[in-house]
Amino acid sequence: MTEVEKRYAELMDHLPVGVYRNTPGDEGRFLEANPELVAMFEAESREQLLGCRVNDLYVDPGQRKVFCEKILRHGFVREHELELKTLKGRRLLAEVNATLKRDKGGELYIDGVIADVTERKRAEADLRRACAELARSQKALKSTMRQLLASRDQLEQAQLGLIQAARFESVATLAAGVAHEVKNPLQIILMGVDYLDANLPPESGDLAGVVGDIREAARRANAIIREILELSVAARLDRREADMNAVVERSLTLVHYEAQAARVQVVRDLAPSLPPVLIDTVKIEQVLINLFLNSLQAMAQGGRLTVSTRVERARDAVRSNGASTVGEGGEHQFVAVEVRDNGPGIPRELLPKVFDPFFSTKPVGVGTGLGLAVVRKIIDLHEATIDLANGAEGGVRVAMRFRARSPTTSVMPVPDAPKRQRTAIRPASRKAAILEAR
Amino acid sequence: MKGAKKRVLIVDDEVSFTRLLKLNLEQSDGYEVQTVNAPLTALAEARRFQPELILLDVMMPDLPGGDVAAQLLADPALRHVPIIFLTAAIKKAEVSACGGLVGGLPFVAKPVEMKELRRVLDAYLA
Ligand SMILES: Nc1ncnc2c1ncn2[C@@H]1O[C@H](COP(=O)(O)OP(=O)(O)OP(=O)(O)O)[C@@H](O)[C@H]1O
Ligand SMILES: [Mg+2]
Repeated sequence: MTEVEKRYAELMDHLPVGVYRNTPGDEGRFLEANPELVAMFEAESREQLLGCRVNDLYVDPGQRKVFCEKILRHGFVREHELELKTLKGRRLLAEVNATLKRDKGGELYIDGVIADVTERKRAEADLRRACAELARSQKALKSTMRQLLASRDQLEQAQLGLIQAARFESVATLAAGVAHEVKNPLQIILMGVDYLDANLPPESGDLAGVVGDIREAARRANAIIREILELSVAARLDRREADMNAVVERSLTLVHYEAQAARVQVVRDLAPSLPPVLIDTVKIEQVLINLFLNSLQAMAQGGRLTVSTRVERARDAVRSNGASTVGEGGEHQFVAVEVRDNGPGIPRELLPKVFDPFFSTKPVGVGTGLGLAVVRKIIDLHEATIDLANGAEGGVRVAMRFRARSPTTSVMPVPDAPKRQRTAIRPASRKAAILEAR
Repeated sequence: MKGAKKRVLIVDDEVSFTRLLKLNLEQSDGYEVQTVNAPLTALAEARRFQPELILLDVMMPDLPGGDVAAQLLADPALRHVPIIFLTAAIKKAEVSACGGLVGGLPFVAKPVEMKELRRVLDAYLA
């Protein structure tokens, strides 16, 4: 050996990778193998390794075929992974880099280096598994997080609702206490007015007007108190089967005067035959009148008030009450009532407040801000729903849904509404009078 | 108007209310009114006055209207005199919802105007 050859031989002997030369094909054999390769395949000696077929080191000789085809086609392979086994049968994963060569006689042979990557692959697989595991638990964590956030939102919502309800109740309770106290002095004023009225000298002129004004004021105060109490007293509903269309008609009659005075056109869009609803007609009339008056007051310069009714089918959108009937497929029938106006609508930032007791944008004497609070309370008592929003084409749109009494479509006769005692009413106190008549 | 005046006893701790109610009722000359502002003296006054109808406030200090009614109903001479309760603690709607009766006795919700009150009184005194 020359000096150079010796150096190379030494290099080969100490390289920590398997270096080999073998021949391709099924009967291919090793021509050269460095000590690392001998150790890798657990051969007793270099000679033992050179003595065996290359195929014998493959777990699946098919892989050898693929390997040979590849190297014959391209002249080399890079980082080719193979499943191999040692002479003692231990499996190993190997990565091979090899080049195809041809000797002087034209015979093909392969020079290559081979690294045992079993450990590395196992670590990689472990890592991949761990990563997947991590991704999974991250996903789980994320969804848990989402759930947590959602339930926190729900909790916050419920809490807000509770606070709102508590505030509402305490305002209402406080107000009710005051209201009762105010009734007695009001009673005295009304009695005094009655007495003065009966004793006015004939041709008393202004005096009669003054007495009339005092009476109106007292009635208005009384109407406000009535509304406040409406909020606080655990109202008993006198629910009966009723035809919503008839209730709408009666309520419209009661605001007929205001509608005319405001030059508002009233449009009825009533479904021809509605299933009956189980309602307290007096209270629902109160709801409708409050909504009509709001719309009319918003359209003092004229406009259009549209009332529509229709039948809707929906899955359980409203809390169930014993009286309801479930239609086919668990669907319920609802009677929807919608009140629409084309007034200026409600500024977005005020929308969340309109149902609050005492929230009003109207001057003192015109609005107490109890109208919608009472509406909400009555709707809640009926286990119905109400939705107030600005309409797409301007104005306000209030949609209510009542659970229908039964799936039949026949219109039930409406029981006689309580007799209304009607008195001559001046526009400003129309609502008071309507409430008074209850 | 009918011949004899109807005797009405009003029991209410609010002095100005009883005075005004008396004035209102008596000027229509169908009624003779006696007022009582101290509920503890109501029974004695009723025995003396022998009313045909009693208007009785519910919420009064010393003796609530309900207790006064019990006293009146326990008296054989007064048992048949109709009692109408007057109260601020009840709404008109509630009164009409139970047919104007609470605990079997008629109620009128305060504030009430003379027109309506007279209607109720006439109905009971007819
Ligand atoms: N149809 C509507 N168009 C415009 N604004 C409305 C309408 N309905 C309600 N609002 C607004 O909502 C507020 C609250 O209404 P709500 O009926 O509770 O009280 P109010 O009408 O002011 O007083 P009250 O009804 O006691 O006389 C109103 O003051 C008004 O600003
Ligand atoms: Mg209103």
